[in-house]
Amino acid sequence: MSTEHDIADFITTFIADRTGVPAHDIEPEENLGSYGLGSMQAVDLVGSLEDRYGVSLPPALVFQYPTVRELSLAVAQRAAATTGA
Amino acid sequence: MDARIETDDLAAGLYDEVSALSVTDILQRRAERHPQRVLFRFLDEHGREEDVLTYGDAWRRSTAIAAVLAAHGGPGDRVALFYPAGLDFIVAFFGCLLAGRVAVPLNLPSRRRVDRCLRILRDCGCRRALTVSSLEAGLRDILSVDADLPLAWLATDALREEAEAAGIVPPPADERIAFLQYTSGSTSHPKGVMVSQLNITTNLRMMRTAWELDHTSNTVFWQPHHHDMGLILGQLLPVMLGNETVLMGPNTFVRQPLIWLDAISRYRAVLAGGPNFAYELAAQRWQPGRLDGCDLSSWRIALNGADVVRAATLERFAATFGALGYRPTTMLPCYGLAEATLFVSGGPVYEMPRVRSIDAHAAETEGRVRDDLGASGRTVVGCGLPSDEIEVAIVDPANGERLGCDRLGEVWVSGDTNALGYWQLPEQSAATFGAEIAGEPGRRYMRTGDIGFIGADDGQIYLCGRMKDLLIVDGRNLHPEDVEYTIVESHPLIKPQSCAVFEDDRGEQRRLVAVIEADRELKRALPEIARALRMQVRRAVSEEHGVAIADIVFIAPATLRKTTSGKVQRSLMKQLHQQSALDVIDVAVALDAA
Repeated sequence: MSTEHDIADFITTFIADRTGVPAHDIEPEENLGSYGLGSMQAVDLVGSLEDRYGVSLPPALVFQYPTVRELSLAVAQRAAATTGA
Repeated sequence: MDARIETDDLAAGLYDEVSALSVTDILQRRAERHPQRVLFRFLDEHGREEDVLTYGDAWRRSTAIAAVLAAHGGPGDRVALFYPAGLDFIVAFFGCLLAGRVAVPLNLPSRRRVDRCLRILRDCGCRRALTVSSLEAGLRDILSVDADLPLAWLATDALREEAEAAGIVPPPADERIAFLQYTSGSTSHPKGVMVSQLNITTNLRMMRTAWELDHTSNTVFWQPHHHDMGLILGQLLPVMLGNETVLMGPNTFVRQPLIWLDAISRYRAVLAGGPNFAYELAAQRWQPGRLDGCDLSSWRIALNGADVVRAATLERFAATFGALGYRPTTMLPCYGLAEATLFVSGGPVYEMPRVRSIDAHAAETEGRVRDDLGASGRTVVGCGLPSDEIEVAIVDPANGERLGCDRLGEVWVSGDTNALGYWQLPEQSAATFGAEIAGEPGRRYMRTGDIGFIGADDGQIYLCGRMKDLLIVDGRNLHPEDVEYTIVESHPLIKPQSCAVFEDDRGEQRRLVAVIEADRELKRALPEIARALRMQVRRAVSEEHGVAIADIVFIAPATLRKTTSGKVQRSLMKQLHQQSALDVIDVAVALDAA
């Protein structure tokens, strides 16, 4: 099962890759929008999380859970629910 | 399938007849000749067919909207179009053109983008807006903050079942304005490119000829319809071709790019494309086992335009999807801009893209292009031959003199595809659209602001950058002064005129870099506050401009280079940054020590 920590790492790496902001500058409690993550990239992130963790996620997930911490928790819960079912 | 075969001959028969007609005139003739033929299919977020529009339906629904529009106001009135991805947009757009109204396609305003949207509505003096029923209340609410802007709303999907309105006559392909394209200009000063009926017809014909397209050239597009590429290529070119086009929303593509490739395979598409990042994204998001059974062998033209074309991306894409029948000769880098309606150059088709490695130093210092096959060479990709309906010149921007092949200068374009100018900006329009080459009076050129050269051995246009330090992010123009101002305003310890923002274009990805000169006070404070300050700067720039600052570099007091008149020398700072020759304050070390 994917841990929240693993998902948080994946999200941080994704933000760093897409925006160029160094990973060590990305704070877990900061709004992802602050790193210049646009709406297109937010949807790209949702799709990448779906691919990686085999879950189906609402396209607007990043807007509901806009920090690394909140988003990784939300994805981990959904992944757990999917495997449990 | 039967209906398709029956209509092929009818669609083919109109090839010559429609070449010089306005796009709505073409639609009417095709609707008369082959009404049942499918014009558009729209795919939902899972790639399933959600909606279909035939040529006959498109005409009927467009006339119903035109009849309502014609009952209010007068010819030339601007009408804003707020549509989600789907098939309601195109009939509203044609409705405007048939009623003699000027269409203004706009991005759906989020709360954050509402300011830009209001500025555009004010700039074009818009009094009427079209949308769909499901969005009307929300849009009214978002845009009601401005009391000076009374908008009359019409939800056009409510007219879906109306009968064809009688007496609607398409406009001729003349110089009347068909629509305004708001992609140029900054947020604070939007510029609406005035595109005429003649411009549209000319540009569509240019693409049809250059890429050898006809009614059999099925296409798949996902670009937003408020953007020139999505509108001209995705929504209007199909009408001239008489082909069948599959559309999907930009979000569908970005969330799952493989749906796009799957659609190309399922609908046997010949033409599909997007900016370079689309190919990058599709290759990144591919996984083994996905797309089994997908066959890309029908794909003959993979357009790559509207952004820098990267040789590495072309290779990666071919390596990833070659096994599915994709051929490297399918990739077709092209060049265009809204000021030229859309298309300027691209082709010849079915040949390998041209990749050259040039001596960057000679190009910068002498404006001369020499091949450099060593490690320091800069790779540039040819963006194709100019259309044979226009003339492209490379001009020295300093004195307006024409330059020969393999000489670096500004790209100038002349021909009927050049837009009429910017809406209500006569001076900027004259400067951009009415340029003349020294010693060649009488011929008007449009200045693109792009720096490039024409290859001596292949005649292709190669692009090397922009004039005026302009930053281009996701197809938007961003002025470095605006970003620098935001940075200075973000924290009291950052002083005015202490900052240079530029693009580092060395890697595969463009990165925005902010170099901030510390005064003594800031330098003393840095070890404590550097991390929080970087965060604050990023937050401010992202909120104001919606872009990421990748690198934030603090440099020693009095080391930011300025001209004698005090202007920040961005290109010099960029050069120093890339040579690692800046006097950087090493905050990380200071932090660890603390």
